[in-house]
Amino acid sequence: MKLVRGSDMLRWLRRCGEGRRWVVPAKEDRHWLFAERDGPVVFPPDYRNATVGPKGWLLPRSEPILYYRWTGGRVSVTPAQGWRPQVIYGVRPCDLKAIALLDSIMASEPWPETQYLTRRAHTVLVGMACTAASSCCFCTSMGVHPAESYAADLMIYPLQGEEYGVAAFSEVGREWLAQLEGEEADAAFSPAVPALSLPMPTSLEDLPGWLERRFDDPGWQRLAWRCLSCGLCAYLCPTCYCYGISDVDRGGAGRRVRWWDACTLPDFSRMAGGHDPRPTTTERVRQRIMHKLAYHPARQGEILCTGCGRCIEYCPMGIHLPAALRLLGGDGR
Amino acid sequence: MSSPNPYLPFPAVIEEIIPETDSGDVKTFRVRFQDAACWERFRYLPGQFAELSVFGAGEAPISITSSPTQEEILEFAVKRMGRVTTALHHAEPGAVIGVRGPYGNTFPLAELRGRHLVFIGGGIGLAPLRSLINYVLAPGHRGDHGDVVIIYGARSPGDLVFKWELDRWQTREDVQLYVTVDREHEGWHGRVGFVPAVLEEVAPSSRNAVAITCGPPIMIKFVLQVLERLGFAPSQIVTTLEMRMKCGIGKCGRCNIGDKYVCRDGPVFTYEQLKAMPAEY
Repeated sequence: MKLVRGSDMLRWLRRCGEGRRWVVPAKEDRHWLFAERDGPVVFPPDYRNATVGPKGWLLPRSEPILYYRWTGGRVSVTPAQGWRPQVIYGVRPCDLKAIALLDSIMASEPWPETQYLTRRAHTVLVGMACTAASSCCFCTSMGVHPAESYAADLMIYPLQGEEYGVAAFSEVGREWLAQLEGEEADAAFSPAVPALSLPMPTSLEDLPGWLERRFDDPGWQRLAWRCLSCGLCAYLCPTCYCYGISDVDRGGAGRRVRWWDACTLPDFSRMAGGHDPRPTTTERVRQRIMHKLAYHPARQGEILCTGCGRCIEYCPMGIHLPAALRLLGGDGR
Repeated sequence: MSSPNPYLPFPAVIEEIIPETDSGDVKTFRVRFQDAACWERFRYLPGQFAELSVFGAGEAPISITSSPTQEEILEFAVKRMGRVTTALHHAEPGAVIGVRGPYGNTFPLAELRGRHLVFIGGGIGLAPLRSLINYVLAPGHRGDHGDVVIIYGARSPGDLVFKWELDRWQTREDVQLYVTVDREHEGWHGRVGFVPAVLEEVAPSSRNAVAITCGPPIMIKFVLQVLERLGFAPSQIVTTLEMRMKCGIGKCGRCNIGDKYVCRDGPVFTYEQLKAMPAEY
C-alpha cells in the first residue's frame, strides 16, 4: 500500500486515466448515481454509496447489440461497436463483488457475452473501501467484506484526514500505482461495520437447501401481496442482470437492442402463446429471491447478493431479503 | 477481444414453405445459409434449437426439425403464436431471415444406442422428435437401435403436421407408426383416440427402451402416467421443454428454472431431471 495525500491522489489518478471516460459518484438532486464527469472527486463526509450503482456502465440499461440494413432482398448485419475506455471510480466493495459475480456469469463458456466482456476489458475499476456504513447495508452477513478489493484494479483506503492508502490488484492497477509517488507502508485501515447484521436462519452454505424446502411456503404469497411489480429491486440490485432483446425498426434498417429486464415484471416468462409458468406475483417474487439465494449458489457456488442494502432502503413496500427470510419461517421454524 | 459478438445471426434464405395444418397455423420453413461457409459453423444434433430472426420483428427460439444427416438445408416447423412467428408466416420463399445457434443440449444419443425407441408426439410437438427420428432412421444409424415405435396424434386430421413424412415412415418396415386424432372426422379412416390412450393400447415394452415425448402439457401429463404404468423409469423418459428465451446462450436469465437454464442445460431433460426441478414450465 502506498500512502498519499488526497489532492496528490486525485492528480495522479487523473493523469493515469487520461483519455478515458471518468465515471464517478455524482449527486443529482437528492440521489447519488454514477455519472460521467471530468475526473475523480473527493467524497463529502456523508457519502456512503450511490442509489444507483455502477452496473449500468458495464451492462447498460439499454444498448444496441447489432444493426441491420436491407438492400434489395439482402440484409447486412453489423455488430455494435465503439467501446470507450473508462475508469469507474469510487466503487464500494459490495458493488465490486457484484461486478466480480457479473464477470463470471458473462464469461461462462461456451458463449462468453462479449458485449459485456469487451466493455469490461476497457474499464479500470478504482474501488473505495468503506469507512462508514449506510443505514441498511449488511455486506458481512453475505460474506462480503467492506475493505476487500474483489473486481477492483486499484483500491483506495481512506485513512486519517487527508491521508489515503492505495493498493493495486491487477496488472493495470500495478502500472498505475508505479506512477504514484508515495510512501510504501502498511497502514492499519479500520473498515466500517455494516449497519445491519442479518439474523440468518442457517449458514450461507445451507441457505439454498433451506429455501428449496420452503418452495411452497405461504410466506411467498404474503410477500407477493405487498409487491407492486415495479422492478425497482432488480434495477437497483448490483447483481441483477436479466435482460431482454428486441428490435427497433426504422423501416429498411434498424437495431437490435438489449435492455434491463426483471423477473418480477408481469410478462417476464410469458410465452408467445400466452402460457406463463410464473403467472402471479407470488411465483415472480419467489423466483427473484430463489435465483439469488438458492439457484445461482447451487449452480455456481456463490450467492447473488452482496448486502449493499439497496432493496431494503428503496423498496417502497419493504420486500427484501431479511423480510423474505423472516416470512419464510426464519424465526426458528 | 477476439470472440465474435454472440448475437450475430447468419443470414439464410427461405427456399420453401410447406403449409402443415389445414388452418395454416403451422408451416415448415426450409432454409439455406446465404454463405455456405456458415453450414460448417452450424454443426447441430437432434434436440437443439436455433434463434430465428425476422429483422424488425425480433427473434424466437425454434427447435430444429431437420436431421443433421440431411446436409445444407435446415428445417423449422413454426406455429404462428406471437410477433416473430407471425412475421415468419408472412414471409415468402426467397425471403431472408437470420439464424443463430445451434443452442441447447441434444437428445442423449449415446444412451439411445442399442435401445428400443418409443416416440410419443402431439401436435407441433412432433417437430423436435422428427429431427431425432430421421437421425436414427438414417442409413448409417438405424442399426444402432432396436425397435422404433412412433405414436403421434393431433386434435383433428387437419392438425397433423408432417403428413408427407408420416407417409414415408409408414412405408418403412423397421418403423411401427401409429397416427391418431382426438375425435371422429369425416374422411378419416385412421385411429381415433387420445395419444396416451393409444400408448396404453400399443403398450410398448419398457425393457431396454427409452421413451421420447413432446407435445402439449396436458398430453405429457397423461403420457407420463401411462409410461410409468408400462414400467418406464423416470430416467427412461426423455422430453423437451419450452420456455421463454431471449439470448439462447445462458446469459439473459429468462429461461431459468431452478438451477437450470433451459437454453443451456436443456431443452432436453429426462423425467428424472424434471422431477428434481420446480414445476415452473
